[in-house]
Amino acid sequence: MAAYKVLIADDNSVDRKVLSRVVRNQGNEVIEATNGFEAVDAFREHRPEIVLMDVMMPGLNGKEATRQIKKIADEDFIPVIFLTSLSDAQSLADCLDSGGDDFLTKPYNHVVLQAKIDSFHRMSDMHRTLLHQRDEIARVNRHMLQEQRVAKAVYDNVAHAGCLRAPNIRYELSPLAVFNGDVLLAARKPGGGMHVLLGDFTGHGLPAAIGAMPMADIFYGMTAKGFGIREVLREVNQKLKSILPVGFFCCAAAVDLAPDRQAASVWMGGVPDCYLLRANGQIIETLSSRHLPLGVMSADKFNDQMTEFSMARGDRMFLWSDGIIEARNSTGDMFGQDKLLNVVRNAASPEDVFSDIQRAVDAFVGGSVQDDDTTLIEVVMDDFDNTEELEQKTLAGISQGPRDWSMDYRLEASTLKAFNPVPLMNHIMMEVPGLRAIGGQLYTVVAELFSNAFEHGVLELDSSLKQSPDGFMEYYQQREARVANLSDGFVRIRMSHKGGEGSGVLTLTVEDSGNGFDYSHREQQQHQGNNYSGRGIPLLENICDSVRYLGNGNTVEAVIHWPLDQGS
Amino acid sequence: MSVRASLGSNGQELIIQVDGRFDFSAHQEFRDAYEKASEVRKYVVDLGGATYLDSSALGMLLLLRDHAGGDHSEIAITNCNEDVRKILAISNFEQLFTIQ
Amino acid sequence: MLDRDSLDVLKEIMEEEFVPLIELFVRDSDLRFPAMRRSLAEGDSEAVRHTVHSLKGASSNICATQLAGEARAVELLAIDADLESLPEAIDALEASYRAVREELLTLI
Repeated sequence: MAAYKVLIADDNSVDRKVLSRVVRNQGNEVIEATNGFEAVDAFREHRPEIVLMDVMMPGLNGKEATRQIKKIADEDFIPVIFLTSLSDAQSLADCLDSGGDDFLTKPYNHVVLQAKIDSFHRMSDMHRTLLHQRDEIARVNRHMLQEQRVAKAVYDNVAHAGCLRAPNIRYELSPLAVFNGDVLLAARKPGGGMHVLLGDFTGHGLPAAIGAMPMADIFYGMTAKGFGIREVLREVNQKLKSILPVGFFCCAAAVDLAPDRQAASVWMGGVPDCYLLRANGQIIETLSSRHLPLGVMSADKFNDQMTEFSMARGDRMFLWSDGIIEARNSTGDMFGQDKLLNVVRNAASPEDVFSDIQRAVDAFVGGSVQDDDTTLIEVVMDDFDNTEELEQKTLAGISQGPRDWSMDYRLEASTLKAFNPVPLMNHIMMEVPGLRAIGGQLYTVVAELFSNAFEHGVLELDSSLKQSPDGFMEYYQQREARVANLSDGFVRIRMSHKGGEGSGVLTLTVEDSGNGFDYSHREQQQHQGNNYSGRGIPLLENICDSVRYLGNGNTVEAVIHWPLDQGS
Repeated sequence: MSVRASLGSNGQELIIQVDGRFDFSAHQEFRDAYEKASEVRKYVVDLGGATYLDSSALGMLLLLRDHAGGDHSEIAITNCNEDVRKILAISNFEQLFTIQ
Repeated sequence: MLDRDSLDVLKEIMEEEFVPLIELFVRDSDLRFPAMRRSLAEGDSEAVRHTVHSLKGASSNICATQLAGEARAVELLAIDADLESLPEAIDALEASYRAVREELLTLI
């Protein structure tokens, strides 16, 4: 039997004596009080674990003393057992209301009393455990919230390195907890235009946001270096696949805004239908998800195919995650795709659509708590006059990058079978700050030159096949077969750069082990759809200051002056 | 929400039936259903009674696919209602599963 | 008048405190009746009630069950402030008490 500290308050000395003995016999410590005032004082001083309280006492009666004792006890559970005569049992409900927990009738039965004391002690223990657990949970929770605040600050710095505040963008990110699973990224491309990425990670909270950081880092880093959106997506997919556990992924919509081409390319994986609204407000193009979310497919199976839309000045694109579609009202209905389309259709003018959507969703949801996140972004095709500003900044940084250099890179057949050097070449060129402004064009140049060298020079494929749809299939089948059987040959890439103040010259030479061709009649042959023709070369001549053939036609040299409007 | 598993086709095919809301609450039961089955070559996820699919359900399907051999897995998702079909279509899951 | 079986249990519980307990009961209870009559003279039925209530409780704990029952009856009269019936009732109660008192003293 455990030893409890018991307070006995009874003005009747006989009763008190009997009770005190019974309780002491059971191994407990007894504190006695002869009236209500004494009882309260004794409680304050000795803090017993259980109180036996006579109801009728002179001065402060048992009920009032109990009220006061319970107040002093505060959070602790101190059971109070009222001592009463059986005939007074009618008024017991009244007693229990003042905070009493049980009653013991006279004459005192020691068996009953022992049982009650034990039972209440179990309850006290349970109560104490509960309080302790509650405090522990509260402490851990506070700790976690603090950690999340710090993590969010770090995250905000990474995620908001971009240009979401650009004049052609309006957006809404409504966080539910410290983190939500949605990400909005926007970055200007060095050559003009913009990349925009909307991501919706599975789950909520910290686990959902953890993938967002490497994604943001890759997105901003690569976009600044002039990489195309497809490469960015490929990198992000690979990164997420490697770090996220199976079953976790990121639904995403990516847009490459190209004002120079008055076009936008879109990649959608796992997000609901989004819309492109023409400036006249009449035509709505639907942007549908064609791909699996990011982080699911392995690198070799990842599909980076974009869908292209013409996009003129004033046309606007609306992107969202499924948070808007699944926003619920108090009766549990979802907002739905249809309602969303109607809001877009019924807006008074295109400029109103964004706020109309916000208002419609707010009105629908009313006061109820959303169980998902509402993320919405509007991107308007603009003139992007800020490229000038960008170039100034870029030029200012020229002294930091490599100015005068050259490199010689030769790939043998065994390497050519599996390795595409173009991204690496691009990476090297992008180290030159002055070249970043024309990153996209440079990528095209290198890709074209390498493709010609490899496919026509080394694999000896006939590009005229690519003119017809059936020929296209056959061309790639042949390509696959020839790559598989490749045993000899090489492609050699040489690059050299000389930089001055705010300008420079890049020379690219690509040589292959093929038989070359008679380039003296190149112009004629172009029109006849010769091996080395196709739309590629004219494109190169647009960008490069000069493109010339050397050797037996198996070497091409392209010279590019930057900034582009300088030079010959 | 309930998950029921049964063997079909002479023990080589596992049929997992999910009824009600297919969401995170189904996680443990769904996993138990396929983890306990050995020697199974084909899987059928019967969503005839499923009213709703959320992203964690998609995640569970991906976990099943990983368990069943990834690219070499044979998993069919059957009896989808219109809403379920739509959710699978948006995520282009027909590229990974046979949707019937 | 006294519940002997319960009294035996009480004796076992109280051990060496049994005799002092009986003596305490007698000392306390002896004083109750003069107190009741004084309160009655002042017309204070509430005070009578408290005194006889205490007697009731102590009686039950000392295993004088019948006495306790009688005290309850007097208590009810006091609650009703029946100043007319109280004097006789108190007298009768005292008589019962005296019998119990005598019996108790034979035990110690």
